[in-house]
Amino acid sequence: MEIALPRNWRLAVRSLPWGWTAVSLVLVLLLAIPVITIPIGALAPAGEAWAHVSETLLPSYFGNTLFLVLTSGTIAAVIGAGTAWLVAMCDFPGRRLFRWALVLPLAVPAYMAAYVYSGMVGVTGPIQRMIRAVVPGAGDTLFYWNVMRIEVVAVLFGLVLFPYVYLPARALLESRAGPTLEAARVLGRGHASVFWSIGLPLARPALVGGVALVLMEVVNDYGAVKYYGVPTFTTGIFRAWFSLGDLDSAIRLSAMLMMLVLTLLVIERWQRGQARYVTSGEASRPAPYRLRGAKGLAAALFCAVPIAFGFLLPVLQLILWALRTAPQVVDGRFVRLAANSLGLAGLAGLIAVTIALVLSYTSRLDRTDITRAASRVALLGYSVPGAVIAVGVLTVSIFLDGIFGGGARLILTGTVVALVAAYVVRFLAVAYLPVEAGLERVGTNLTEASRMLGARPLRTLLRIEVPLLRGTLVAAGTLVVIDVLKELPLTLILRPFNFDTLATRAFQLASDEQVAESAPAALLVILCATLVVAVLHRTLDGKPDLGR
Amino acid sequence: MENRTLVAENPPAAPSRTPALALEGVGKRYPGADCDALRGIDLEIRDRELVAVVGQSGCGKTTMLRIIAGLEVPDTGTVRIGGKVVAGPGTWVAPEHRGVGMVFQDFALFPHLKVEQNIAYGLNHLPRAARKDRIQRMLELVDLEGLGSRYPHQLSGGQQQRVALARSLAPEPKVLLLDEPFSNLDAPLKASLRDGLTKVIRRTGVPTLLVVHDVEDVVVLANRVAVLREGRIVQQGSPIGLCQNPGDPYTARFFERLRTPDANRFPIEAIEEETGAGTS
Repeated sequence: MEIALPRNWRLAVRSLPWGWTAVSLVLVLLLAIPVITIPIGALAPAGEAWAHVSETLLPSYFGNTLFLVLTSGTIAAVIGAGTAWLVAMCDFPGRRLFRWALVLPLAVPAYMAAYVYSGMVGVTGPIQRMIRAVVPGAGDTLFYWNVMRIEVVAVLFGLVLFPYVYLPARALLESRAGPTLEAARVLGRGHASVFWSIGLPLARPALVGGVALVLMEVVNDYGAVKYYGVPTFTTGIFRAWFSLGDLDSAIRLSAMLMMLVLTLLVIERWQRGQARYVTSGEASRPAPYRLRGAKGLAAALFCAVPIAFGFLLPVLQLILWALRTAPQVVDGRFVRLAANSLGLAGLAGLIAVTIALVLSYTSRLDRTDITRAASRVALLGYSVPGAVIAVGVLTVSIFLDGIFGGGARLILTGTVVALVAAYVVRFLAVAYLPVEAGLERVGTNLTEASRMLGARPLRTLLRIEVPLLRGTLVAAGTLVVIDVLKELPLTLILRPFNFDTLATRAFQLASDEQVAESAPAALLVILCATLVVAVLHRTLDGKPDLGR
Repeated sequence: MENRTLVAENPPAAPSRTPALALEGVGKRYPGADCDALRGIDLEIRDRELVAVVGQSGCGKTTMLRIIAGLEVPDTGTVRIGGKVVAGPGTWVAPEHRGVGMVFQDFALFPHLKVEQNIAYGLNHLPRAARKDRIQRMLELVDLEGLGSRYPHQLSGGQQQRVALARSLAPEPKVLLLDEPFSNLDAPLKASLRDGLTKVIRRTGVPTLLVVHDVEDVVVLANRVAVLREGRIVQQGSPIGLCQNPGDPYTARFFERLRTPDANRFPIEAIEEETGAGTS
């Protein structure tokens, strides 16, 4: 709906009762405390254990994390940018299918892919056994290739995380690159030249933003690096807390990891420079490069390989395992496990969407710098690794239990309350961004009309915005649910004693060399995620596709 | 004093009564803007009066409406509705408590609510039966009987405007504001809608302030015109008075079309006759 007013003419400063602002600020404070606790806690004088950690372990944590970040980032960038260019700019066999299927690897959590591959191509896996049996001499010379290496982890990350680059890059190329690229072609530039001279620079903000997301996921990971025995900051945090009971060192490592993430974000901002995502504007697909014969085949292969390795193979393997183990594994306990996970995720999703709605509504109606800054602070959690948030929530809950609980009664620590709170802190942004965009789409004039008719802000929100945004709210909540279902490190640290989710159960079985038994739980998670990824991609994407 | 010869139906308000709406020295500057959006606005609207605000785009017309509605906060000055201060030094009444009705430029109908639910939106305080009764009366008033269970997107532009009007009048506002009510409608539709609108507003007698572009709208609708330029009221008076004695070149140009009769334009006498006849 078009509003004829200039953009900066908004609802009045005081048109929102102070209560809304107060509630929002309290919410933001609660959300920010676990995050802020970390750098503050790191300022305290170091204990003796820290000297040991910092001398003997820190260099390898730092080196490995950096290696993973650089290698996986590069792989994801190459696959993401390449597939985005092919799908957006070229015509080749299977393009329409690939356009959609290239998102699927997002549904596979990196740690699940990690242990599936270790089972498949590891020393005792079917592939190496087959090689030893078939290739003459391989068995005698002891062909044992150890796949449990950091390079393999880096490649795995690249394979399952590249859609974070592919999606924004493709959207950018499809939505606004058309005229520029056509101009370049008319001026006589060849395909490769147009890619390097126009395509890449145009897509750079999207590429940089996408790679930043990939790197966030890489430093967030615990399951894959732990399984492959690669010491990083996250495994260090786990070791400090679980093996040594050393919260102080855990806080320090968390603070360093936060610094690392912060550095990444600063680099992203700086790299993006003035350029911004432009998602608006008519989708005009430029005349595609027709790739026929060998070239077309190569293009199809370039898209098919990441899908095969990032989605199809691991899922296929999991299905094979699940067929074998499901009869024993799927029992009453498994159903309770699934119910646990879904209930927890649903609760976190509901709370996150409600908070997102209150915060974005407040900052939209009460356009002061305070509320705007506050809503940004509330989104901090998404860029903070789950293990760090877990340590933050743990610190706060131990502190609060010390004050209110008194002795043995723990109200927060090791309870579902702390766990859900941590999920909300971590994933609020996932709900916030679509809700904010939805409110922006509805515009201010229906809100104003409602208030002119005597409805207070709360009634307006419930009767106008909520029904109009029903679809958006459900989608936002579902995104949170999926993220919670996949979440591992935070859950492992904060879950109550003997409490399991699908993710932790799958990971633990895999860690206990019961990879096949872990398959049903893992498959259930991937199935939910796949459905959501596929459906959301279709609906979010519906319009530009119709124009073809 | 204002010239009231144009509209026979509206008797001059008794001078002793408090004005329905009064602005005193109202000023507003948007953060970051280099000049005032409004400066020292003084304006009064009395019962049954229909006042038009004209001026070039960006001169502050819409800001003025929004300040009265409570959608913007004035920097200076006082706004009174029915004698009660709703905005002024240390006073602020939220839009939902002002009793002001507003028809938005794009109508702002709630797309997920039926016509009758749209009209009922501001009637929350009424008991069910009274509410139903009021909805029915409003639908009759704007000639939309039988369309109550439609959704806004199932209506034509003109019907949507009438729903918006019915919705804003239903809670019996003390003042009605119309923000360019015809800018979203096709030209052929406009004349008949304008007559309908005038009829409805006059019948309810609600004091009305409207922002319009077209000189014909002014002459047909308004008892009084205020000319706004660069955030200030430079002239106000009856349409005829302003037409005959324009205070500045803009006002002169605005009314010029009325003085040069051509095939598509009414000469002003014809309008006088027409409105005189049409409203008696």
